[in-house]
Amino acid sequence: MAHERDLLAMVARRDEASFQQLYEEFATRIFRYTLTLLRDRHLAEEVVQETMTTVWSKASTYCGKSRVSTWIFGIARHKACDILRNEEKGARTTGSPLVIDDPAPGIERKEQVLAAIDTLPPDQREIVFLTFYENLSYRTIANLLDIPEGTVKSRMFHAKKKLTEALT
Amino acid sequence: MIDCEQVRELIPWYVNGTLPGDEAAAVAGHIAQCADCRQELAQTLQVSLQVRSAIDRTQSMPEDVWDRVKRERGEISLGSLNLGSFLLGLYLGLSVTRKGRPRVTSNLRLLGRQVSLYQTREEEENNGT
Repeated sequence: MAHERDLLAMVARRDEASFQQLYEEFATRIFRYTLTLLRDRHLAEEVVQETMTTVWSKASTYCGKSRVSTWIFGIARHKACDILRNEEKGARTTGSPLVIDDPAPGIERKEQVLAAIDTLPPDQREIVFLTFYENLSYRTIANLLDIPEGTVKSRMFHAKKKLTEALT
Repeated sequence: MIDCEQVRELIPWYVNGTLPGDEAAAVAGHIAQCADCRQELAQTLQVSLQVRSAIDRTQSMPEDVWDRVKRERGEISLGSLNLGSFLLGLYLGLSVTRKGRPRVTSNLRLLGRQVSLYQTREEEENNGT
């Protein structure tokens, strides 16, 4: 965590190499997170681009109350939610499911897992991603999503039940 | 004492290792004595591994997004050269800043991490050196 804080402090001082390193560490994670939310590759790329541009311009405003990763994911989530709100107004119709990009042994099973994740409601998909992929605590997730801890646990409970039924 | 319902709510975060010490100890103590919750733990562990492994194989970021980020900040890439692999490689980039000054960036990629070799500093650009 100290490493991420050091990098962000260097970014606040306009250090290009630190910004590039921060980008390397977060871009794919933000991309997969927003892909989980938006289910649209191009919109997810757009969110990564806007998020990292915001990180560059606002690095000096990071006050250290949360982990750097939580701060960056918060920016990405805010931008993804703006897109989802526009979508609700009818700007976009449907998304596309998560797809495997790297054919390898066991590919069918992985496709089955992604299909099962894809059947979950967006709010449950997000909790599953943040818990099992990003390894965030339920408290951090509650802060990030600005919802009660009980809601995080309850969404996970229902998501896990569906995933277990689909995968076992 | 913690009951089965409370334990099952906490198991996902017991599995990802982020439960605070007191809650982790309570879950561990309960699981040691409850076969049903042990089964729930095994299922959750299996689901979490499968989810992680499947997401790891999903689409990765296109390389041009980094150029788009630079453009957004007012920097135009003139060209770059990427040699070697993810584990060991060399990156050389040439771009123009919004003030019209050239910026050279050179990084060494070592075991997946970027080590800066050289870059034109912002102060140098401001001084025009």
